[in-house]
Amino acid sequence: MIDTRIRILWDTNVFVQALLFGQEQLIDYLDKLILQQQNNLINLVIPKAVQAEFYGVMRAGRLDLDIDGVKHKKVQLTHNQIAFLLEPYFDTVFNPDFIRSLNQLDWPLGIAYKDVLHQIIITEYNWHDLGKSVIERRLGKSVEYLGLNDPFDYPIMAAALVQGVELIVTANMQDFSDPLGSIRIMKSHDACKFDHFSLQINPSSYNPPI
Amino acid sequence: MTKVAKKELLNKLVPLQHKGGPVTLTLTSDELATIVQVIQQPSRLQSKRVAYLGTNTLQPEHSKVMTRHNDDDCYSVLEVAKMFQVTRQAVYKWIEEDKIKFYRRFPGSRDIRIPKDQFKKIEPKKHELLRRHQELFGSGKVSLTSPKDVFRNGEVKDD
Repeated sequence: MIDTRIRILWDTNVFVQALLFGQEQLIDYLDKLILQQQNNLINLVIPKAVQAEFYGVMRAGRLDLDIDGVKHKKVQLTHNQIAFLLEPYFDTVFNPDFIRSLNQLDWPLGIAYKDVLHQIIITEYNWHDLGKSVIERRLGKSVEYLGLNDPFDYPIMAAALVQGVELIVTANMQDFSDPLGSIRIMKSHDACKFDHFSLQINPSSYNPPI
Repeated sequence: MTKVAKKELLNKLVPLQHKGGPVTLTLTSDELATIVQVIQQPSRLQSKRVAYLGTNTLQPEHSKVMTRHNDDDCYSVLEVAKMFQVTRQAVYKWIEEDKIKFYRRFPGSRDIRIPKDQFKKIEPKKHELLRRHQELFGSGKVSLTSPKDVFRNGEVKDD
């Protein structure tokens, strides 16, 4: 049976805004998507590439804690602290087994965590080029032509193409592109006011969300 | 069945009301069909409204199964739209695609009732997340050491 549910992908930066920066509008949006997903109305697609990148940002000490507008200290979360934060979203958004498996890796401090991400992409997807060739094969154009400049967004775009995602929610509009028009790219604050189901509704019959 | 025939049938059935033991009756196939039809029909005395199990409009009318469903156990299209924070068109789309169960008050009616028991109630995670966030980070504000890690142009704000 064909799965006709709308597939929605959240990029890493949207999780950062929602779960780390604590932007309530996005937390509400995530709750709404979970409710729709649990009732089999949408398919919330969170590729392992996104889960690993989000984990890596927290694990590699890429966070600062600002108190009264002053950068107070660097924050490096342990695996247990990350699991504690993400636990309410286990099974609905994050894969607990995969998150646990990330703890087995050696996460360096600083930007070197991206090397670990690269290894994860190879292990999980077998994409030695981070998914570049998948994008080019599916879209029939080079990533340079498409204007996709960030290699660390390749796996997310490639996963979106492989999984037939219809909506990517991201802050990096320029890093995602679909000349075939099957994927819509939206910023998080626009997406949370957008009725995803209108993606498959004749625009002439569209009404504003309730 | 004509009125006269119905009266005759009723007269045949009267002994059933008065005799306690088994009764032998001879019924024509028409009479038997009428009795079956009456048994299958919902009672007109039922105070609650009767709805009809809806299927896709593409399906033939006779495939629709009649069933009882109380209004209290159903949502309207608007209520479902509000619950999921979507447009009414989205709900009609789910109906069209048989993603949700629904009932029509009458065959072909646009008055659609949507049984409540098919939906899972999911507790929002927001409060639990904010509680855990507070426990981990206190009242401090979390930011990224290098926003370019995940915000490629370095701009964190996107609204």
